[in-house]
Amino acid sequence: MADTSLLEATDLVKHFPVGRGGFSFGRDTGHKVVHAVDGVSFTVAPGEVLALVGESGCGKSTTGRLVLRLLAPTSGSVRFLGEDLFSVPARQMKRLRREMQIIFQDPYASLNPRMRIGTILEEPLVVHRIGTPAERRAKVRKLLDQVGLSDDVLDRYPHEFSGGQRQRISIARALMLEPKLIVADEPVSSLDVSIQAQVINLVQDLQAQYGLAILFIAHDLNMVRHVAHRVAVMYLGRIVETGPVAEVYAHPKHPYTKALLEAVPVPDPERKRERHLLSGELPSPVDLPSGCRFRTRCPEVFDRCDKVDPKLIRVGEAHEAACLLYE
Amino acid sequence: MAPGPGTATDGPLLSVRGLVTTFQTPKGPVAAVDHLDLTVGRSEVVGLVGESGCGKSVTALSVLRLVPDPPGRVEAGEVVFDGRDLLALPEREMRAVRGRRISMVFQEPMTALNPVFTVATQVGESLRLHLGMSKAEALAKTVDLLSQVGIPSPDARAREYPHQLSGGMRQRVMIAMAIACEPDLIFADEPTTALDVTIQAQILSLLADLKRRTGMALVLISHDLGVIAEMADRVLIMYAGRVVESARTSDLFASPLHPYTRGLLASLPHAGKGGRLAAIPGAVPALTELPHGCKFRPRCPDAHAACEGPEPALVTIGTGHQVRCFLHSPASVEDTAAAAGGR
Repeated sequence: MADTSLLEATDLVKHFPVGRGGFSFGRDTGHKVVHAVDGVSFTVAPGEVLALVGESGCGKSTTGRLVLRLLAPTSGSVRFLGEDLFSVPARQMKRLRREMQIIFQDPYASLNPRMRIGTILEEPLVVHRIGTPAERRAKVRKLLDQVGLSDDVLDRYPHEFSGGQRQRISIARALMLEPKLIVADEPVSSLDVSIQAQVINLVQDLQAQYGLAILFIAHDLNMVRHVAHRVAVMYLGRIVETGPVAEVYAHPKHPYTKALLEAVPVPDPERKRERHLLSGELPSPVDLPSGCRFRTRCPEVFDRCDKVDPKLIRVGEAHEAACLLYE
Repeated sequence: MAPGPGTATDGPLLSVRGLVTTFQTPKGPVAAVDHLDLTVGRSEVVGLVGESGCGKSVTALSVLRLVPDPPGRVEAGEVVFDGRDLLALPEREMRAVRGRRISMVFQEPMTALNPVFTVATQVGESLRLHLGMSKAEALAKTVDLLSQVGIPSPDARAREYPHQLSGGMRQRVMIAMAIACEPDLIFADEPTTALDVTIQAQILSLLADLKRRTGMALVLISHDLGVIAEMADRVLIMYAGRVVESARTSDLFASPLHPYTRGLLASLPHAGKGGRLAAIPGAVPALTELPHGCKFRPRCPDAHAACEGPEPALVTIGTGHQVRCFLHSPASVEDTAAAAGGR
């Protein structure tokens, strides 16, 4: 797998230091840390869509930022196009950045309100010194057309657009450099339902057309099933289950994945499901439970769970889960 | 629940007729809610569904007379709650309704809770105000309410401030405040939208359980058709300030009539549904730029010439199923207005 993968994250760890209440301003605050990402490994093949799913605070967005080197990890490595992202020289990093882009969740915060749309879209080309001004403008027009906007938007400002249109602009910006990998961090969750479907269709069309690999970060499990090839379910900084989407949704193994799938409301009033509600809340990522970190909420917890921290093991075809039930 | 003083026991709990709520904008007044009818029976769960700006939250605020004025104003309509027209009540009497007979759960528990008061003070406020409890009684009742909504160690939590609670816990506190005086009706405005799915499942099951225990009615405002399918007895679909379809939940999902409802249901990603999603083209129009005739016409796959004329009326088709669309009835708003005038 390693030699065919575009992106390979190995044992990624990101701890954020926390103060003991109040402001710390860089003073030594003891050794308390938030275990935002705590040993995450995965690969993404060229043209593949891998979804990272989980609830708020599970570390999925931090993982997305680590693989783009928007954050430096506490430990672990990321190989992208065969290069180790955290040890390449700055010059080479700039070249690699052309191949990796991000689409943020909130299109109201991710477009500079004082720049015209044309300038926003042209900027990646300017930064990387690609093309003549005329070529750049032609490229901007081409991308606008591909995301379904006309070129009379070029001289307008972000505030003149709706959320869905802004997200189209963000997508066009991410594609300006024709990257190989896009990290899409909840790209539709701030949009209205009828607009979500439009934007998802657009992402899927462009994914197929450009052969993009996408790290799709989301909490909407129905959307993930529709968009992704493979899924990795995260809980408190760890991947607890991963596999092909069809397999994981049909035969979830980890108790957390099962609970997550059962909790999704289904738009069908006839289907009254038996629901096994998870009790309790997410433990603090500062003081993690001993052993399995899901055990405090797990309906199938047993005596070994507080002693052994389960590793991901094979539970099916390309399907892995981290749970002692399967060891 | 014991009926309050002056309770009219027959008839629906809440009957809203012809509600029009407008807002002043730089481009002139716009109707955020336009001739809306809404009926809620006792112990009934009614779902209000629609996208941002369709008027579902303004409907709830209008009933509770909480629309900020200016720029907002309830221009027309009547809101009959338990036999009394709320819009005609003096503010002093309205205050005895809010929180006591009708309460509201807001979407953002962080902004809806006051950061400088403890949970006990905020939950206890309505108990002391409406039920005349002493501080000690209110505290005891608050602890009881917190445990009812599933908050662990309620004694300690009651003394905490909102920032010390997680999102799910804050929403439970909001619900504890809403049920404190055992109201007959709760408006829950996207009560789980800000929450994770496993916490959402807990809150929805809590609301269903409270409804069973207390017999309260619930108006559940949501854009999530999954949540609605699970909770509601009846559903109203809103678009651009209007109800475009209304039906029993099972009928709505089994045989949606309005092209907008059909579009919403079709646009959802679904198990075993590959390929492209059936997106609704275009975007919700700004209230200042509503099209003539049917407001959904520019985005409608079934639009025809008649749709540009007078706006279609909300017409009853089959048992309790209403739809505002010329595909199902040629009656327009003008026809029904004329018929009403001639009566």
